[in-house]
Amino acid sequence: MAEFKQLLEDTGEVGYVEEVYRSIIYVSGLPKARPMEVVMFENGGVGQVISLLPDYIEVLLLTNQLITVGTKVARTGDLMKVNTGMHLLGKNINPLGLSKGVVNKIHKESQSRLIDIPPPGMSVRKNITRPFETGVSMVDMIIPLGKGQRELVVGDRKTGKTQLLIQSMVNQARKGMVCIYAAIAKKRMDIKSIENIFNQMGVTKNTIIVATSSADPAGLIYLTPFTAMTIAEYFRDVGYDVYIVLDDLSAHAKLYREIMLLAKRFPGRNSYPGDIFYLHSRLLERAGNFEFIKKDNKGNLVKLETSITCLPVAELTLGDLSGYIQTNLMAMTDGHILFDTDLYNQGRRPAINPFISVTRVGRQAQTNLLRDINRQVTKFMVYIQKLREFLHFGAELSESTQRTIAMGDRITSFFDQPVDKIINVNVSTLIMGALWGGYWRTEPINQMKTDLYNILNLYNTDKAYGGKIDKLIESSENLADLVTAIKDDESLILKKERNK
Amino acid sequence: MDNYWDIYTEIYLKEDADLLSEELDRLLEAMYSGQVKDFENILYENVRISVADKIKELVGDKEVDKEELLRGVKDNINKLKLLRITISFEPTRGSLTRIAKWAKQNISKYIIIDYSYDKDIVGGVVVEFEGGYKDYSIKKNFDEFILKEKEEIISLLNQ
Repeated sequence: MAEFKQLLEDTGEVGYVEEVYRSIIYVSGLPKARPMEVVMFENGGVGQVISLLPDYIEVLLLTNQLITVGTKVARTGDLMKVNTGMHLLGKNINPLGLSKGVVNKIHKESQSRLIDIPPPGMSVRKNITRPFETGVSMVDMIIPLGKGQRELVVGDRKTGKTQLLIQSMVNQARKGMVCIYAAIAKKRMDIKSIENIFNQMGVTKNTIIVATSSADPAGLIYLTPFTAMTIAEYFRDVGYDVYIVLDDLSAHAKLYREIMLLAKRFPGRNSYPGDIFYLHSRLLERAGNFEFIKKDNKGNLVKLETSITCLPVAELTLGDLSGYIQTNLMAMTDGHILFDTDLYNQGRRPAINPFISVTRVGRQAQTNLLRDINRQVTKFMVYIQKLREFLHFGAELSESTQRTIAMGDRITSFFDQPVDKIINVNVSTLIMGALWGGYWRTEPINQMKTDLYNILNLYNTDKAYGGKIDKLIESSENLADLVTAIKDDESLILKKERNK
Repeated sequence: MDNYWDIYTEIYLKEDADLLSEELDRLLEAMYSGQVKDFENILYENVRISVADKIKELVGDKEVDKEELLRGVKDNINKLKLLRITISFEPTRGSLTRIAKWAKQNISKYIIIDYSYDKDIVGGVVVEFEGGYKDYSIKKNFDEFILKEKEEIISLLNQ
């Protein structure tokens, strides 16, 4: 209340609530209010001006307070800002930057930043050249991503989208990247379980969760991705590579539609407001690979390359990829990873359809070896798929065809990966090289998987062994080189050779 | 608005405006109640005599659309400018009227007054008009004084 009175004093203006229409509030008075300005209600509620009408100003309510007609309103004179800083690492906050259940102190180093700013221009952007490792073999080898890429993750409900995102966040957080998870209108239980996973995996100190639950006010949910992106920009400017997940933008679009219909905006396609593309594109354009000139500790000017890798999520209905929001998002991003319900029902994990998934810039960040593997394996998988279609005719198969199909099964099985396993890309490359070179041809698939996890375990625990693999991968120019190198030193693959 | 000015001359407070608005609603409703009565009867049955006289005067002998006229009067009530004041005492009708008359003469003739009572402001007034807010209360001056002279006051108290 004291703060409210102070605002009245400072601005010398007062407004009164004239009409309350769910989260849209019409206020009289406040003659100098401007669009996007934050206003405060007498009872502590906070809102944001969304438009100025001849007699009223239209305010979007951002908090849970009950607003009644006649409530006083004060301007803050400020646009929507959030406090960013290193203190946010490990926190679960709401889009106003407040954590639940703790006293929110104002930190000395915190920086107040506008949450809705124009995206950076071309002059500070740089080509994507550094690979972004997700720890999921299928993505790292077939649909590779680069640091600064924006890749849409799209699929029906419950097809494992969030699992992939969590795996990649854990992997990147372990490597020191700042990972921000924006949970947009999620269930509180789901938000909590993601927080728990980060805790269990020991990556909390490098992660931030910006969360709104479906019970929060529509206005607050609407702000979630903007706040998350603002925090990402802070860490980018400090010098970190940032990974941000926006889960999910189709829910965000629905909320924005609700708000805009309540505000009597003219509905467009599927009743979404006309600026829905603009809204999401100006958000996603804030991600990318950037190069800034900064002063180092000695005062010298140095070039600093940092990135915001953004994976927005969109939900599909019955696998329909032609939805309005989904196609909009595809147009804004540098590719998409499609989760297929049929593959999920067949037991494939992750249920990614590699044939419909696209990556536009990820390959340019790959090494020659990985690019060669990508090309050859993709070609082989397409061939296998066609071959399987022929099998439906009941044709009798030659021995070589049977061998090819068995190889296809092994590769498919290799890409199956449990949620709790994060596979280093070098281990994936080694196994793929060995598979391509004919190892495990006569052994059951389970044996191959057991060997894979043993190798992964050894790679993570034995530095000398890990170093050998890294050196081998580094020295191989293409898949043929890799296969030859593996055959030259079988101890990397075969346990009995290692034990000699 | 000036066409109906005579009716608003005696409206000083928001309560007066609300009462007039209510009366006009009653009058509009009564005109279509189904009983065949002439307008004058309806007028004097539903509205205070002073207001009824003014409406009668406004209608005169001319053939005017009475409903349109009454709706015009009612719509214009919403256009009256509200001056909100917060004071530290319970004012009498007379003192409020005096304030309103002063405001009508010096600011705009379309002003009406809405007041609220808050003993915490000690004295003076908090004024709200057309979105503007000014605190001329003693409490504010007192707070500012204490803030400014804080150290001197503490040293005096410590003596």
